[in-house]
Amino acid sequence: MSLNSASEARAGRAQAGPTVTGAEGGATAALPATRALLPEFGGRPARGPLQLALLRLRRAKLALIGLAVIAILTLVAVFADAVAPYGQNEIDLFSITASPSSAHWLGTDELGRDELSRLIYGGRVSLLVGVAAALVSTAIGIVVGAVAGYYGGWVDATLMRLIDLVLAFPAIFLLLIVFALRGGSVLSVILFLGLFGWMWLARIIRGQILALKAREFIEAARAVGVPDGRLIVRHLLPNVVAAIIVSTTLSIATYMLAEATLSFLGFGVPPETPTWGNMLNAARPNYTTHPLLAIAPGLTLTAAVLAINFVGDGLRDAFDPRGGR
Amino acid sequence: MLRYTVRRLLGAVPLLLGVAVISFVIMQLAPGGPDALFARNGRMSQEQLDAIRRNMGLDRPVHEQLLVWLGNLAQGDLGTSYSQFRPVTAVIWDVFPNTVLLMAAGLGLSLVFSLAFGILAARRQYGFVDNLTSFVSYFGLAMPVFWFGLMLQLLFAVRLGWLPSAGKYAAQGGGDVWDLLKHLVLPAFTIAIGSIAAWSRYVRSSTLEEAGQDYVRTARAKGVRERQVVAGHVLRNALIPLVTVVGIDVPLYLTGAVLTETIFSWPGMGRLFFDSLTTRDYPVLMGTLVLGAVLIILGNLVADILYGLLDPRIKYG
Amino acid sequence: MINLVPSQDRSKADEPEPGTVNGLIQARIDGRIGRRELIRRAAALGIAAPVVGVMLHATSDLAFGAPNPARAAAQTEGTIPANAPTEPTGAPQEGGVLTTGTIEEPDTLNPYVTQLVTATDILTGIMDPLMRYDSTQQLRPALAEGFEISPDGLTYTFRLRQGVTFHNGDAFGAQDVIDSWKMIMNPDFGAFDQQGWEKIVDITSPDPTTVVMTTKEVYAPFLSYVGGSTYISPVKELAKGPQAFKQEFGRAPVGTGPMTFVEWLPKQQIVVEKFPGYWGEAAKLDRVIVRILPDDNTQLVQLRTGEIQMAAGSGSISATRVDEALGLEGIALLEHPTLGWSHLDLKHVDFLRATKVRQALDFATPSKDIIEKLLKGRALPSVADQAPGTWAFNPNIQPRPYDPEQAKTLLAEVGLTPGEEGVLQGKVPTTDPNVLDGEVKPFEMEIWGLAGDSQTQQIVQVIAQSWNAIGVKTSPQFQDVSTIWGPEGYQFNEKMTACLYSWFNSNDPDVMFYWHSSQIPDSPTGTGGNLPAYFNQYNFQAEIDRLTAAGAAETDQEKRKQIYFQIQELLHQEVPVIFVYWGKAYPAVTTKLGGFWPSAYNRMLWNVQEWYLTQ
Repeated sequence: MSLNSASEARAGRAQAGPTVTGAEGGATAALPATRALLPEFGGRPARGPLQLALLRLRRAKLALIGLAVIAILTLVAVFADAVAPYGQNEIDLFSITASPSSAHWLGTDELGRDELSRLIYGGRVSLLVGVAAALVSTAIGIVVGAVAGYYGGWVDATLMRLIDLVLAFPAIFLLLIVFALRGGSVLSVILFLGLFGWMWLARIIRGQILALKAREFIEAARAVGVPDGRLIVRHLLPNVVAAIIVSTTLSIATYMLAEATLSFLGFGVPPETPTWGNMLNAARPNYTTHPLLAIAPGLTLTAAVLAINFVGDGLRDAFDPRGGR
Repeated sequence: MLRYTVRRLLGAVPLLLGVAVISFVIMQLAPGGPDALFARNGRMSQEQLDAIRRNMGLDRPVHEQLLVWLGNLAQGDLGTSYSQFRPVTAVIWDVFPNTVLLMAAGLGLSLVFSLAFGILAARRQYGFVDNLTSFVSYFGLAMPVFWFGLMLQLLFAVRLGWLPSAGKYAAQGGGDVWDLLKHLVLPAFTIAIGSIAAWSRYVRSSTLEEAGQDYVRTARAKGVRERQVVAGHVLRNALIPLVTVVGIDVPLYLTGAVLTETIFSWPGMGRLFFDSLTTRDYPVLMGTLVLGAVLIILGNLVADILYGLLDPRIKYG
Repeated sequence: MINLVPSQDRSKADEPEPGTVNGLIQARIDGRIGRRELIRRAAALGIAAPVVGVMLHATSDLAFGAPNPARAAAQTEGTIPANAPTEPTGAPQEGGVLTTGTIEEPDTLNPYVTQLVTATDILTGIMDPLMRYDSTQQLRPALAEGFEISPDGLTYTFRLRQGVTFHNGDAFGAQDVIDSWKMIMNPDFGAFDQQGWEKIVDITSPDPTTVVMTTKEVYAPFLSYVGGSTYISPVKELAKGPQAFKQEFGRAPVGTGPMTFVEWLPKQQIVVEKFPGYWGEAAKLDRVIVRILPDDNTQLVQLRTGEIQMAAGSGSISATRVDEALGLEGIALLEHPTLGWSHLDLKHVDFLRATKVRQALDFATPSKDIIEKLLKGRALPSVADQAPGTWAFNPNIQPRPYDPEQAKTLLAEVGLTPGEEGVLQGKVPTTDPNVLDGEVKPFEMEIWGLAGDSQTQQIVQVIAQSWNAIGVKTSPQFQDVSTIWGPEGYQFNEKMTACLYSWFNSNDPDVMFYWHSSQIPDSPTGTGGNLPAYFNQYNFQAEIDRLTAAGAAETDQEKRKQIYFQIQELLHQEVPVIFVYWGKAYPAVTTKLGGFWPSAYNRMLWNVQEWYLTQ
C-alpha cells in the first residue's frame, strides 16, 4: 500500500516468516528477491542467549503496551455512545472553536462540535476503515497468492503480471481520481484501499506455496486425490498463517494512515463523518490559531499506528523461529 | 547483465501499455464524460459545443479515442490540456523539474540521516543513539506525513518565523540559491521523514549483520582502525540494501510529493495533479498518472540492476 | 457622439442633437436629466420600449444606485467599506512592487476562453475593453472614447481612441476590434462566452478609428457585454489562427492596458509591470506580482509573514476567516457587497412540491445563526433574489425565523407523521402538489454541496442537523463541480434533494433565468437556470412565468420595481428555494496601498494604474 509513509510497510513488514528467496528469473521474480533479503540482514547476530532473551523481552513489552493501547482505543470506539460526552455531529453554533474547558475537555471545532467526542467517534471510523480494508486486501491477497502459487503456469504468470500492473500505478493518484470522480463513502474507501493493497501479501503467499508444494506431505495428499480447493485450504494455507497474521496486522496501521491522508486532502470519507483524517482536514483553516484541533487527532492517530506497529513487530518475533534481532 | 536489462526494459512495455489503457478507462468514469463541464455552460452555443467535441476528438467512438490516445502516447504526445489549451507535455514539463528537485533533496536528506542514525546506532547497540534511532524510526513511520509537514510549518514558519512558509522563491528580493534552500528545507524534511525512519532501521540492522561477519572480525583482529573498518567494510556492504530500497520507494515519494507540495505550495507535479483534479483537466490527469507509473517502473528497474551490480552474490540469468 | 465623461468644456460641435436617442443618453450621463425624465421624454418622442431599455443600460441606470445607507449600516466591525479609493496617510512613493496572493491559478490568460475569475483579475490590468465599469458601476471610456446608438436601437457606432499602442508596439485600430469579434465567433476557437457578440450581424469600419456594429435585434445589455467587458486583442496575435492564438496568447497576453505581461511561473507567480506607453496616465507601481497559493491557509500565513501584501479579487478573504485577517498588522480589510445569493435549491419532487413543506424547511433552517455565528455576521440576510441595496430590492419582507416547532406543525398539517426512528413519512402528492394522496414514503433528503469548499460544507452540515431534528432525515453529499452540474447531478435524479450554491445576479434585476418555465432544461445536458423544476413545474409556475416576463418587458422603472417587489413576495411565500444569505467580499490589503478601489462590478487590477505605495 504505497500510500503509507514508509517503505517499511511494503518492503520490510510484509516479509514475515520464511520468504521467497528463489530468483526464478524473469522480470517479476527479481523484485521479491531483492526485497526478501532486506529484513533478514539483521538475522543471526553474534549475541549471547541472555542478550537475546532481554531483547525479546523488551520487544514483547512494547508489543504488550501496543496491545493495551489498541484495546483501549477499540473499547472506547465500540462504546463511543456511552463514553463520548457529546454526539458526533452535535453542532453548536454558539460555541465555535471554543478553548478547552470543563464542558469541552479538548475544546470545540469550527462548528462547535466537541473535539473529544469527535475524536472518540472518529476512532470508530478510522479503526473500522483500517481493519476492514486490511481484511479486504488480505482476502484478495490470499486468493490470488494461493491460486498463483498452487496452479503455476499461465495462471501464475497472468496473476503476476496483474500484480506488476497494479504496483506500477501511483496509488495516491489513482485513489484521488477515483474518489474525485465518483465521490467517497466509508464503504468505497474500504474497498478501494483494499483493492490497491493486496499485492505484497499475494506475492509472499505465492512464494511460500510454491516452496511448500514440492514438499512430501503435499505430494502425498495429491497422490491420494485430495481435491485442489481442500488441499489449498486444509494443507497449504495453515502453513502460511503466520505471514498472513503479521501482514494483516501491520496493514491495519497502513490503511488508517491512508484513510487519514485521503480525508486530509478532502477526498475519501465524507466530511461530516468524523475520522481522524477528516478532523485534521477541518482543523487546517484554524491550525495557526487553534493548534490543538490539529494536534489532538494527529497525535491520536500516531499513537494508534504506533501501537499497531508494536503489536505487528511483536507478532513477527513470536512467529519467527530464528529469534529476535 | 545487459541481456537482463534489455529483457526488463522490454518487459516494461506491456506494463506501460496496461497503465495507459487503464488510465484511459478510469477517465471514462467521469460523470457525463470529459466534456460535461463545457456542456453545462448555458452560454455556449450548440455549434460551439460540437466544434469543441470535434476538436477534442470526443465525437468519435470510445475505442477509437483509446487508439488515438495510445498512438499519440507512443509518440510522446499526451494530448492537449482542457483548461490551459496547450500540450500536456508542456504543462507537466513546467513543474516536473521542481518535483525532481524536491525528491532529490528529500532523498539526500534521507540518505545522510539514515546512514548517520543507522551506523551510530549500530556502533553502540542499546545506547543513547540507538534508542533515539528507534524512537525516530517508530514515530517517523507512525506519523501521517502531512501532519508532520503541518507541524513543521506551524513551528518554524508561523510561530518562530525562521523559514518561509511556502513557495519555491520569495516573490521579491529572492531568486538565488540561498533563497531556494530556505524554501526547500521544510518540504524536503517532510517528504524525507518516512524514509529516514525506515532506512535507518535497514542501515542499523545491516551494519550489525556485517559487523558480526568473519571478515570484519578478521580486520579488527589485524588491528585495522575502527573508522576504517566502518568506512571500508561495514558501510559499503550496508549500502547495498539501501540502494535498492531507494528505487523501490518511488511511489512513496510520489505520495509525499502530493502532500508536501500541497502544504508548502511547492510548484511541482503533485500540485499540478491536485489542481487538475479540481479543474477536471483529464488529459493532464492521465499524463501525470502515466508519468508516475513510468517513474515507478524505472525505479524498480534501477533498483534491481543496481542490486545485481553491487552484490556479487546475485546473478541474473 | 456620446461622450462618456460628463464634461463642461466639451465642444458643442461634438454634442449629439438634444431630443434624440443619443441626446437623451448624453443628457443623462451629464446629469442634466434624471432617469424618469429620460423615460418620459423618450416616450414622448415615440421611441420604442426596447430601445429605451438600451438607453437605460447605456447610462447604467439599470444598475445599482448611489451607495445606500442600509448597506453602510450593515458594515461589520473592523472592516472598511470600499466606497472610495484607499488613501493611506504616508507620502506616496515613486514606483514600488506589490505582491498579491491568489488561491487559484489562472487556467489561461486568454480572455475569451478562460473560465476563472482569477484570470480576469489579472487580465483587466493588461488588456482594455472598449469601455469599462468603475466601482460605482458606471461605464467609463477605455479604447472607445464614445459611442452612438441608431434611433432603431440596432446599430452602435464606436469612436475609437487614437494614439493607442499595444504592448508589442502595434497601433490599435478598428481592425483589432473586428478581428477580435471574428475570433470570438469562430466555432473552432470555442470562446467561453459569446454573449452580446452573437447579436452582431455586421461589423464595419468606415475609417480606422470608427467601428460600426449592427445587431440583429434590440438587445439592452449589448453595451454592457460587448462594450464593457470584452478585451480587445491585437490583429497580429489573432492572425495566428484559433488554436495557436488560444494556446500562445493564453500564456503571454498582449494588450493595451497599463500593465504589460512579464512572466508566468506555473504554480508560483505571474508578474506584470508598468507599460510606459500606456494611453492614459502611466501606472505608478513598477510591478505587481500575483503569487499563486494552494489555499487560503497558506494565503493567511503569507499575509501574516509579509510574504504577500494583498489578497483581493477572487483571492479575497472568505467571511469565515475575516477575523484572522483582522488581527494582522499593517493589513486593512475592505468590505463590499456582492451580487451573489447563497441558497438551497429544493428539487420540486414528492413532498417538496407542497408549499407548506417548503415553508416548513425554511422555518427549520437557522439562516440567522448561520450568518451571525458561522459567517460571523459577514453576510446579509436573504429573503428573495434581489440584492439588498439595489433599487429592485423589496425591504418589506421579513425572513422566516428559525422555528422548528412551527416547522413541525406545518409538516403535520400536510399529513406527515413520525414513522420509524422518528423519521417523518407520508403520502406523496399525485395531481395537486399540495394534496398528499399517493404512495407512502419516508421523508429522506440529501443536501448537496461543493466538495472542498469548507464554508459550504459547514453550512450544509448545520442545516442537515436542523432538518434531522424535525424528523426530516437529511444526509449531506459533497461532490465536485462537474458532478453537481453534470448530467449525473442531483437535478436529474428523482430523489428529494437540496443543493447549496450561489447565483450571481447581473446588473439588471431580470430573473427569468432562475424561475421561468422556458429555463427548465429539456434534458440533463440542456441549458437553463430553472433546475429544481426539471421533473415538475413549480406549483406557482404560471404566476412566476407571468411576473418574470412582465418584469423583463417593462421599461417604466417604477412599474418594474413593483413587479419585482411582487416576485420577491411570491418567492418568499412559495419558497422554491431557501434563501440563505447575500455574500460580501473582503479584500485584504496593506495599509500602505493607495488608489485601491475594489467592487463587485469589476476585477482586481481594473484601476491598477492608480495604485501607489506609501513610504
